Amino acid sequence: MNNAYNLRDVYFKYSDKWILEDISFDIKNGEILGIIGPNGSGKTTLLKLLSRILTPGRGDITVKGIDIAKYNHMDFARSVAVVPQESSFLFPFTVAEAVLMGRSPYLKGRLFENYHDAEVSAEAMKWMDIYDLKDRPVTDISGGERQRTIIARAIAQEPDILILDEPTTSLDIGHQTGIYNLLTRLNSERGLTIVLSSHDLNLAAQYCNKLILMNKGKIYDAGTPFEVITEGNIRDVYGCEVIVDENPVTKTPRVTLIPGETPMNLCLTKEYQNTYTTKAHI
Amino acid sequence: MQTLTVKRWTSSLLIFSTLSIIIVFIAMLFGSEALRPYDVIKTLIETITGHHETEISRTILFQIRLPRILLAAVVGGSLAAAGGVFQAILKNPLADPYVLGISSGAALGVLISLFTQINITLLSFTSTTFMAFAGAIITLYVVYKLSNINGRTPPQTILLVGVMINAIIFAIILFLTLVIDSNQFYKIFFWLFGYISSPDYTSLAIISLFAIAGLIVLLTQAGSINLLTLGDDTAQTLGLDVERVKRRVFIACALLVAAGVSLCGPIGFLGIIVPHIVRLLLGYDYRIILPVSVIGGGIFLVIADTLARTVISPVEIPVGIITALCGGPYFIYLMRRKRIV
Repeated sequence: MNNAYNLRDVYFKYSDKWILEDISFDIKNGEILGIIGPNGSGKTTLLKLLSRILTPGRGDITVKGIDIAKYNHMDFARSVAVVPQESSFLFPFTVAEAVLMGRSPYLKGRLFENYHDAEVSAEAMKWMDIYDLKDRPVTDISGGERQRTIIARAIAQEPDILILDEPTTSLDIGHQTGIYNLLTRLNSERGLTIVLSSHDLNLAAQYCNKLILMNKGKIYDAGTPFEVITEGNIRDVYGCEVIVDENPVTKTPRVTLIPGETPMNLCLTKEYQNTYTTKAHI
Repeated sequence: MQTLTVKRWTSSLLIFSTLSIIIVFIAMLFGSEALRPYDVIKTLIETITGHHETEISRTILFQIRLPRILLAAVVGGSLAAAGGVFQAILKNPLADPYVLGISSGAALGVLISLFTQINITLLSFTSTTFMAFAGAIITLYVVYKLSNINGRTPPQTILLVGVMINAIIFAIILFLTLVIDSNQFYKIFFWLFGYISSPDYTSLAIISLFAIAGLIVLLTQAGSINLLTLGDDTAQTLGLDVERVKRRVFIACALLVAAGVSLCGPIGFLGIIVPHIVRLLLGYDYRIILPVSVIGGGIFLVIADTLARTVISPVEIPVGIITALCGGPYFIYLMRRKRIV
């Protein structure tokens, strides 16, 4: 059986500076892979390469053993579903309409979805616990509900691989764990391979089988949560002093921040940096 | 709003089609004093039963009024469809067929053909119609190429490039209008506001051919247009070949706009207002919005043109003035009240 993804020496740039350099890793079928790293480390860009929204400047990406560029658009959307960091709606479609759009790659020239499509998306809505909201406009529901709608749309695509860019960033801890629990169920009950990026090291450590730590466009470390989330790695990449011990319940690494110990040059707030530079000019 | 089903789709279309036929009939009743509603009904009955007593009425009705009403219906439907589609592709609820300069391009084509006095008719395609389409397509191509960044065309870039190109072309149009033969000035001035006159059936057929071709393409792409409203990246991850769909849809819109502009000039507001009203009634799914906007646009322009030829009869006013006067305030009302934008 082919891996979900193979990346070999992948490079990417928007203009003249490489944003991603020398990226090589594999994603096995049925894995939950977490991509962590500071802002601007290339997490979103990497996910966009995996989603085929961007094309690598150099290197090879294969999906289920086939070159990513060789897929046609419909086939790719039936294999890989994407939940973007932000979703905008030009028009207030209802939740049911929004989820039903996940069936687009199966329409094959039909103008309307059929009974099967309606069933699949109803089931996706039930999975994400938004079936009761189906006739509400997506602009009228809470952020957590909207995120679940987008994930339901992705499930309706019946993909083998699900890519999520910071799926819980704007949600409270209740909704965060809610979404992660659902992702774990999708992984164990439906065998979905899941690739996600996250800023929350504890959640990532708790729910992912494997982590990739990005720094300045390169892979800094990769492996199991215990191998990647170490006090040394966090200090080197994020510039913060932390204590890493074991979560007594989940038996996964637990990160605790030590405030005062942070080196000033790395943890300056943006406002402070601005005042600082202005003063220097005067 | 319920999810779109075949049943809801069919019933909505039936209702609006019936309404449009009724409106066309009513519009035939009105016109200059020469033919009052009573005469119209009498003539219609005579035509159906085969008695031909009132030859003049028949000529007025079938050679002047009916073709004009049909032209208004075709052009109104085309502009409304193109407007609705541009709103989706440019991610801007205020977009209309004119925002990218397509109609100015078509208008410039028409002016150039008048200015150079080239008058070739090939298979009943007059050079004016051809030049309108050429103008629309060339403008669209220039806008699309200038907005292209690494094989993608971000909506904001298309919009900004389009607005600029539109301004440039419009300046050229005004310049040409000034230097053009003064005998034609009044006619062109009228036409630039949007003016419907009675066409001969051949021109009407050609315009309809353009319009039907464009509409068929748009209707087959309606589902894809829904996805485009979610943003180009999301549309792509849902299996859409975004740039291919955009190119197809743009060409179809150019056909629709060119068809309208070549005979009636740039008629404003309709492309913005009609799709918005349809959305208020039927929701946001382009598979229903598009066909109903076509019918609704037709109805809207038929009514506007009936007003244009009757309010200060026998003097006619450009229909563009009516659409702007009714459309502008209504649109502001919608925007404030229903927060559609």
